[in-house]
Amino acid sequence: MARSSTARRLDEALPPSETKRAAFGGGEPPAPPVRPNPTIGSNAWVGTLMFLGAEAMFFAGLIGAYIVFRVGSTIWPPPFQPRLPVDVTGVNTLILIASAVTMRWSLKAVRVNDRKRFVRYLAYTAVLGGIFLLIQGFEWLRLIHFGLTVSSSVYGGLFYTLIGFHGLHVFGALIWLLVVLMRAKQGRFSRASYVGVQTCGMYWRFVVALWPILYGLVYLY
Amino acid sequence: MVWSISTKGVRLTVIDRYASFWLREFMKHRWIVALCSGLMAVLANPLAIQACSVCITDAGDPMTDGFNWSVFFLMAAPYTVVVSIAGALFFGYRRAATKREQTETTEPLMQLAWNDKESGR
Repeated sequence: MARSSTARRLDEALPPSETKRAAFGGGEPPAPPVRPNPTIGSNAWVGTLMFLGAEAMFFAGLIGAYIVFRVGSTIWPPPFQPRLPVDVTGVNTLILIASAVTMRWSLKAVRVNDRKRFVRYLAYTAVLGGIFLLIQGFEWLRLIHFGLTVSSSVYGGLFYTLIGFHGLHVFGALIWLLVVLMRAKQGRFSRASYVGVQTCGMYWRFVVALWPILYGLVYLY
Repeated sequence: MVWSISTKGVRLTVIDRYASFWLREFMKHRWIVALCSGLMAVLANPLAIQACSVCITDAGDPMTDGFNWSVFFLMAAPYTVVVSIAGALFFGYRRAATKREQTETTEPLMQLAWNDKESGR
């Protein structure tokens, strides 16, 4: 009976004594079912978390470069350079934060299988993100018109690099969001399977959370 | 000292046998050559190879402050990112464990299938 003293592999077939059914009078009560360890999240969730960590470090590098020039300059913005539109961008910040709220409501809706609200809030998020990008683009055109370009000064170069990369990320997130919205309309997501929405929501909230930091650093400081 | 052309290219031949001996011995130890080359580079342009980014500016210079704050920020950034990821994993695990405890309060289906009466107890 050395067999009983050794550990059994999970995928190994049970010995005959253990597979005896008790329904016809006899045998031992069945063993309690084996429960798996609690899973923290899907692989996609963990992968997205790591990806966001890398993205955070990318922006940390850009912010570090900005700090060198911003703190190192006694006059900022440099003379003969246009001032940034603080008020309009402040409103734009609120719009982007509102999009994070609607994204959260959308995730809540998919968790309770409320498909109608889920699609609606996802659409609101996409619209708010689109409005943010449009206002940013409009303000950029005005700044270029006033003479603030990438090559006009360090000020212009840093502004377009830092804010431009964030805008690029929002644009990427918006495309991702539109794909998710399209699939949501097709009924691809449910309470049991919504990893695509979850990861998209994580990325969206990352770009939203990053923006107030950049706004405070570039526009207000 | 003469120049000679061979199949391996142009070669400098030192006539003096003592000088030739020392040159050959010197070239055997290539790491010494590399070290001497590096030393010559340091002596030629010491400012360009300084690793310290703030050594090129004076104390109290705004640029020095800029470098310092940037270094502080970049030093803190990886820790912040790692702690954030660890926090997300920790709270994710706690949430999953709580959910599991809630589901464990219900009786498993296999237990319901067991019938004491039919088993003769």
